[in-house]
Amino acid sequence: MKLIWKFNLVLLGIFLLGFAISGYVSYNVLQANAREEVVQNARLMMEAALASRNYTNTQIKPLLDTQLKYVFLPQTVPAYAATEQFNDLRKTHQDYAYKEATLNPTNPRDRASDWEADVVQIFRQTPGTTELVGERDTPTGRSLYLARPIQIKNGACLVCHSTVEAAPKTMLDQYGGANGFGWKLNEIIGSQIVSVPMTVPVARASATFRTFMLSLAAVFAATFVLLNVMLHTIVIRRVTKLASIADQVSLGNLEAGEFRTKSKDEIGVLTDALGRMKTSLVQALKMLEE
Amino acid sequence: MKAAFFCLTIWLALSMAPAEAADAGTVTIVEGRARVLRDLTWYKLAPGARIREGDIIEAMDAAQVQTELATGGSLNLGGPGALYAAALPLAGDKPAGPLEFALPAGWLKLAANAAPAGIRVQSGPAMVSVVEAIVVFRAQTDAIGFFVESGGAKLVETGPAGKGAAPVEARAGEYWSQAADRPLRSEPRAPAAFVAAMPRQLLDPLPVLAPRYKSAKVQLVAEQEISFAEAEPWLAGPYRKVFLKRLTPRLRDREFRAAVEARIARYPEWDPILHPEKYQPKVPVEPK
Repeated sequence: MKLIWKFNLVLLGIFLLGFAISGYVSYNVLQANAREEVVQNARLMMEAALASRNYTNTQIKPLLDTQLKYVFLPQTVPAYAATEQFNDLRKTHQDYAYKEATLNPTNPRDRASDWEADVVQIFRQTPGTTELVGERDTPTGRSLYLARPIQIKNGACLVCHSTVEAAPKTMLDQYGGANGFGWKLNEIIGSQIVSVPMTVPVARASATFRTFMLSLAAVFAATFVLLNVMLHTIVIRRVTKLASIADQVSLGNLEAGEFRTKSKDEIGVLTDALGRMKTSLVQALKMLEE
Repeated sequence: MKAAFFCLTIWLALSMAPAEAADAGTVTIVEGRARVLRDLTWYKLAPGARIREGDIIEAMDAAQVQTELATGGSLNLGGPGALYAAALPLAGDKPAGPLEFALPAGWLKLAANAAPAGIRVQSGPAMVSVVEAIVVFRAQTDAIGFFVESGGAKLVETGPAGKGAAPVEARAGEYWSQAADRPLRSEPRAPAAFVAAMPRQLLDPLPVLAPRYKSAKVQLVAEQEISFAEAEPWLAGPYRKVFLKRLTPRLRDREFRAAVEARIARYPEWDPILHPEKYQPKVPVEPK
């Protein structure tokens, strides 16, 4: 097997191995980063929803307390405020969602769906759990959800949610007395769930991965070609010429050619050495003839 | 000369002190057309104006007038309506009894903070007394409806149908209504029609603005004297005696006098003034 083939085989092997390892590592890192980015987005949205709840509870509701005695204003309910704020966001980002999924809600739109009820049940069964992150398939693609439990920590919540008799009459006028009652202090009654689409960040990660791998392949190919050209020019061609002259000289053809070079590299040194050897050989043969 | 000037200064200072303390309340919000009847003259109302006992505040159309009392509490009158300050002590005076207002028509939000005497509102066939409470009234001809926002109120029927009836306790969150043709009744919440018709500003707590006008000196601008048509509802109402006495000087006015003359049967109290000759002792006619 020729030297160039051996060299190319080893080089190709190294390139392929490097390509595979780089591809595997970079794909996983990019996908993990994309997921982490989605989780961070979801957390940010969850915090925004919590901020909206807090603002409503501490600043809006006190201003409207008097009006609540006349007519129930859902705008004073923190859950309603957070949901409405998110609904406004959804006008431009349809795949994002926020829901205060509740097992027994006052407002029917907050009722937990099957998978949301499962999430709530996990929180109820493992009281120490403060956050759940998961993925699910939706009609618009894969979606990541981040969930946090809704626990009744403030006794003031029970004014509206303990019994029908204790609830404000204006609230009953709006929602009736069938749902949203019987809540207990410290009970986990639902879950705040933020859903963020994974399609876009995953597609972005895949595009980044493709670009990276194509670039890597291009670099490998260029390196491969360049190394071959250099190997051929600097080594193979000169060694072949040396071998040819040496072969002719070894067969007694002392006129086969001169070992000449201006190069000072290893092959140049070898050429000079072979030249001196040929000169020595010619002189030795002349001395023998004399 | 110096002594005389000093005495004059002291006298002026002393004479002005009661004038400063003579306010019973301050008008802090005037939106829309509103006026006040003081003695016999209507004055245009402006924020910062002082209110006294006997004043009648009138809010036209959808105007609102808020008055903050010197003794504590606020009243926001929503038009079209009128509010008569029947008993309103001056700032610094010890109230002899409850403060009293009459609301013949219009909307009124009363935020009472007048312990221990309290405030009472005469409206239609009922008198509502409160001490520390917030109540919103709607007075119409011979009908009253009120919602107790907070605290409690005591309702006494003053119409012929309710004579001798025991006072009724109205609790926070309850709506009470009474009309001449309908008995007193309560509901556990404010009815939708009441809330829908209610002026928007009454849905919120009444703002406290009196400190802004503490040093304001607003000169009321006189408009015109009270006409008979404007006076007639008051002369026919529960404060008839007070108004008959108060409006007597208006009998000097030709038009007012003529209007009374045309209905003299309704005002027999004024007949001796209009026709004194009828009430002079008869001089016995000596037989010729």
